[in-house]
Amino acid sequence: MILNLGEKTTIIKLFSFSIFLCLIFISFYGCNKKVTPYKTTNLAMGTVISQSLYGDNALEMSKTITNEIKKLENSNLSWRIDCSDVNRINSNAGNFVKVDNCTLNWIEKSLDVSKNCGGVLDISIGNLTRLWNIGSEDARVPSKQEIESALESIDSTAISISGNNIKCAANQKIDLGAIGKGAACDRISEILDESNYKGAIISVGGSILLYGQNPNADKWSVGIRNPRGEANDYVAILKLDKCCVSTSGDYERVLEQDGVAYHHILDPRTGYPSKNEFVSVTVVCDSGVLSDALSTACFILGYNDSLPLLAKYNAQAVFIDKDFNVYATSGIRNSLNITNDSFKLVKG
Amino acid sequence: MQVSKPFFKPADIILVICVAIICFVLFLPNLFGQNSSTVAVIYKNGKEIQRIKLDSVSESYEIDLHAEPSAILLVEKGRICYKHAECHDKLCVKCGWLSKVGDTAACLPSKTLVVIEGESSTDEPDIISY
Repeated sequence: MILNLGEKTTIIKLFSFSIFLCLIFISFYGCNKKVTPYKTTNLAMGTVISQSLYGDNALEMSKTITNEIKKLENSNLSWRIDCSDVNRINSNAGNFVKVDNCTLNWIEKSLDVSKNCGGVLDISIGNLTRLWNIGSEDARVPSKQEIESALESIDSTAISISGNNIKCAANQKIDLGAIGKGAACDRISEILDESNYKGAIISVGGSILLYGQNPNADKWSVGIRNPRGEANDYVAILKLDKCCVSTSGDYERVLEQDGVAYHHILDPRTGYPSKNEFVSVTVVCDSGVLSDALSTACFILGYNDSLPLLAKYNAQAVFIDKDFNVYATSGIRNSLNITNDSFKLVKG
Repeated sequence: MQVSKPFFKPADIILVICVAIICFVLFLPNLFGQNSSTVAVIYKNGKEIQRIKLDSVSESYEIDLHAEPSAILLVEKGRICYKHAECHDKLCVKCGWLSKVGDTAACLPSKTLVVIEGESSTDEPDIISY
């Protein structure tokens, strides 16, 4: 079939416009479609681990991360597992024990925070946490005498470090529960660095690693849980770049006895769950260990007493009190959007 | 003097409109037909054991996870929760209803976990810190 010039022109026009329109629709569709991460959720370190991975080989990376978290629990952090560094330090209390570089680094950071927070975070709290055992089936309110006895063993200055060797006093037991989940975030961040990974959100219980770039927005968004709502109810959203976020709240792991609720954040000065007007503290900083340690320390200290500590570690925080007042440090206030009308920003 | 012909004839414009309509119709499924339904994924001992399309649930029902300690889920249209558990702290039951993408409830003693999956809304945060 031979086409005349007019017919050829019409076909070329039609073809060109078809392609043009298709490109417009594809662009429109592409701009509006969210990049969907590879997601996985499992249980480890006595908590829920969730991973959202935006990058290549996500399945493999997810397995690597899960295995690393289990390794950290078994080899470094858990006081329940015989061969872990923490268990060996406790079992050999009074003697030096050689530990992994990671464990050494985390203990050094914890001791530094202890020194700067007046001892409200103290990893030599092991005897006291085991006494209460909040979160386990054996949880109970200890007698006053038992608590006084446990308090006598709490003193982080009695922990000695020599090279890669660590020693706690003979009557002490260390517990890295206040920094363990943040420590896992730091280790995962290193793994993602090694793979030059694009972006990821890893949640290890109350600590979150926001890694790389969010492909769907300028920043990552983190909801702060409603401390008096259900587990998935949030009251505010933080827009953040790469960082670690840890929350400590009085709603997690609670022992109820004789109509009284005892939460799990123990004040090493009194031996009892911390008591002040704050019900949740969320700390944001570059390091998972520090965000985890600081969220516990700041929960016990309260807003005003936490400010110098947060400033020392270049960290920001959001506090929520019993009356639903929200306090945000100056460096984070502009990133905070309260989404629940019952909560009010009062200081920043 | 040579009179230049208009680039578009009326027939061309009709053709372009037809092509535009065809393109739009072809892309409609992509724009509006995304699977917006939420799926509850249930895990036990680290393995996925069941998926439930929550929007397809017509009548509420219970699922016994046959775990130790015992854990029972309640499923309704659009949502799911731990109805009862024999664990000591009942944190799983206190999590309440799960309905939005990303909502999670776990019962650590029974090693069970429920996660809501699906296409998340752009208004929701990427993650919740708890």
